Amino acid sequence: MRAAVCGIREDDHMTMPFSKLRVRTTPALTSISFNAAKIDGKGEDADPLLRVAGSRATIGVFDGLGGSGSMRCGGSEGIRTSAYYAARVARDSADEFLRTAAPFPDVTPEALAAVLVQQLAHDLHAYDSEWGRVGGSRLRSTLFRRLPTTAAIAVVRPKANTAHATVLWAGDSRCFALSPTAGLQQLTVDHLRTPSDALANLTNDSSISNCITADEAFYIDAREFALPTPCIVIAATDGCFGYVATPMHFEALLLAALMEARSTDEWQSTLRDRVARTAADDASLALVAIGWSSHRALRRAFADRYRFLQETYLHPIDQADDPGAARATLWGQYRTTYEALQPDARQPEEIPCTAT
Amino acid sequence: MQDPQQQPYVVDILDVIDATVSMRPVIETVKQQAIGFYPKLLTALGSKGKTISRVRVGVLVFRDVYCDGDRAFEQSPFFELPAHQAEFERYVNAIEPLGGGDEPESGLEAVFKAIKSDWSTDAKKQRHIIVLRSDASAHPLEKAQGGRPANYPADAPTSFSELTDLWFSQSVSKDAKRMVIFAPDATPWTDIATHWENTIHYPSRAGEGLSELDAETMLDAIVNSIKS
Repeated sequence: MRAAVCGIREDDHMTMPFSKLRVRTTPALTSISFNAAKIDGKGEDADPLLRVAGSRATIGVFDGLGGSGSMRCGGSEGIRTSAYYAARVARDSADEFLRTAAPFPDVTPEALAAVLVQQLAHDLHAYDSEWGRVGGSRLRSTLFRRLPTTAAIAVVRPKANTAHATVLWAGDSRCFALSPTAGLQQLTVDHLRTPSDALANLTNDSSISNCITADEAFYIDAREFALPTPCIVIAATDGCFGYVATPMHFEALLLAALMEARSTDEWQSTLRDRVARTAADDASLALVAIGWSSHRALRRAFADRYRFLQETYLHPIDQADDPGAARATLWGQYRTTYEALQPDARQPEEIPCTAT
Repeated sequence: MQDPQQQPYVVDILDVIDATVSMRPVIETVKQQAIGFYPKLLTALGSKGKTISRVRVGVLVFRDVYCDGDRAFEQSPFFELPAHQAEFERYVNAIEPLGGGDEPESGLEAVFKAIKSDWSTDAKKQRHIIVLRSDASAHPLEKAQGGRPANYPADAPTSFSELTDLWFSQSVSKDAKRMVIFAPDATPWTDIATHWENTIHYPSRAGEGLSELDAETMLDAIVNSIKS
């Protein structure tokens, strides 16, 4: 089993794993990604998965779980936390699997997830066997997991006026759709021990109920969406959306960076800087914009939405005598569309894709 | 736009210390470890760019309820740190190893009292950390069925299973709770480390030093889970 983060892929559509900033542009697909570590060199998020092949784009984020993944592990970058390598091994494993498995027109998302679970479990277990035990630790713990990480992946295939998106996830990283008409819409359901809505999750501190790991059963949740185009599909770790006042503020953050930027490169760096300023955690994000011919067209498409968002949600909250009450009231309005595509949470026992 | 909901992050630490006479050779080390945990926690948080708004530290001393009378359990209030650092240190430094007789000691009753302590409940984001240090095994809770000594904790579970249920119950914040155990590989510590959620066990005699790697790992396990 190779060590994680071990090189540059040959595929010319896949940018270098070590790159912190990436941009790929095709006539109809624009994609960006970033990885903003809270402390340089110690970030446990992997560089996002971003692969554009023809008209298909795969984006994914992987957040190594620092608490349960604090046991030490070896690898190409020396002794690091288990969380650090977990995110990178899972990213490489998922990338390889989805690159060889796709296209998969006749495969249900659940079936795809079931096979992905087997692939991830195999690769993480192999990595753990070779690299996972260093330092002769005497610690025993029910808190620790071997190579724990979240994942949120979207495989996007534009067709006519629709983008077919297969979304796969485990843990509390998320995928979203963003469009000028509907705004931000969450496509995933956080796997939390104390589930709640996106506003409550900002102030609650629930632990994760399901994550990818080398030593315990886990599952990958999966859904298929037909998203009207043009739209943007986003995968993000909780560092991106977990430190804002409300979900509306996260959408505003995304759009503020877009409005400020004069090019795709600038959008990427601006968004990265804005997220890094807001987050108290590692943050990584990948997105693909479908259906706009230029950055200028993309910006113009969202200008009205950004204005609407500010006037309808942000300014009233800022100016409210009781911001808490204003946040709750306005979230009540916003969540109707924000949650419109969000599937119902499924119990793990309902999901036939658990590895052991 | 930075975290304007400004939720306080509260960390409560309860040092549960075996202060029977067999701890005499290591008790000063144990005291220094208890006092030194807070600055280490702050350093670790700082190195990861995290902050917490409130830290409270308490002390629960235990010995042997079957032979130590009213010295079997001694518990301080929670001290706000850094404001009451001096009071906390004074309390710790006054701990005196005595009694206990031969092992086992009353470690399980101490765990029960720790679980039932006055933990913060006013913050949505919090950690409740029990740090237990002992050099001995513990009496089975069933022993009290033969007659409860005067100082026996009221409402204590009558079996290890009941205590286990309590740890897993809603009365203990399942997201906040953590237990770190420095104790020998003996009953019941091995069972707790194997079966109770959110526990870390360093099988050792209390006071024995951790390797640098294990010390970092243990601190990371607490600090990295804090999303402040």
